[in-house]
Amino acid sequence: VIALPCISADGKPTKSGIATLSALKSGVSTPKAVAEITGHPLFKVRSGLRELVGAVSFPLFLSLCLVLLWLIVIANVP
Amino acid sequence: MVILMEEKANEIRLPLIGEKAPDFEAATTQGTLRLSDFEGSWLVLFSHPADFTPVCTTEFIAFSEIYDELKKRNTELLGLSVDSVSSHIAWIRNVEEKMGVKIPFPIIADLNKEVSQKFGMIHPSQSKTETVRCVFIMDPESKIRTILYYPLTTGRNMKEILRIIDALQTTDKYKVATPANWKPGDPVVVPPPGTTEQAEERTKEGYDCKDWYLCFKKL
Repeated sequence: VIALPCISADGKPTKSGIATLSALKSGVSTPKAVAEITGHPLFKVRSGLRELVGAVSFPLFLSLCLVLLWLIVIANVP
Repeated sequence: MVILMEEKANEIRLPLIGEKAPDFEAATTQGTLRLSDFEGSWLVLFSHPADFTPVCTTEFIAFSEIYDELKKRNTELLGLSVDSVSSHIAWIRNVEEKMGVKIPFPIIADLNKEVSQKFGMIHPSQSKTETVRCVFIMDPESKIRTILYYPLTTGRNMKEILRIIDALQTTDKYKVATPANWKPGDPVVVPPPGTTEQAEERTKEGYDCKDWYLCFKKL
């Protein structure tokens, strides 16, 4: 298991993940601004944000697939 | 014939100075990183043969010692070897415990050799499984600006790596070249003139000229 920058292997947010989320909550919108606020290297912020977006978008993608499957198989929509 | 064609297709060309470095995504000790994550900073990508080996350990300590100097130069460090993330973690924890040095930069775990092959870091005559000691210095646009290769038995010179970065950044900023053994503060070389008219004018511009093609100036 590889720990992500934002979320540790046991599913808890890491220190840098919490700092990134706090920075985002304060209203900053660019990785550079997050890096300045948190003091983390820009590459780490970019990587962390990518993992974060992936973590959010994967369940969304899965939900859409299930809805489509339901429409095709159960509701018999062509 | 078919084998030859397959070999040709599998042949990976070493990226050259002036070219944009091939992007990659790799597992590191600081999470999954892409080369593009480093855009905007200078980057020293270096490979070492293996974790828990003596010369590499001295190099990692030396790279950590110049880390702050690199940061002052807007430069990041990224290590690589054909080892696992767990091995890297165990090694850097050992270095911290036994040598008192914290390794602050990420290290790529290139178990499938994807990155090392893209950058020509495996020299089969030296080792088929370990990377040789390579240094790729890239600028903020991920363009390769310097390539250094060292054999397995020779540890790298950190002062030279810092000197190269200083020289490249000076070149970019002032549009000059740097002479042999140049160090910051030394006179720099004015690019040679391209026409006879420029050569004539060169002598009147107040440079320290040995001849029309070799002129120095202080920054």
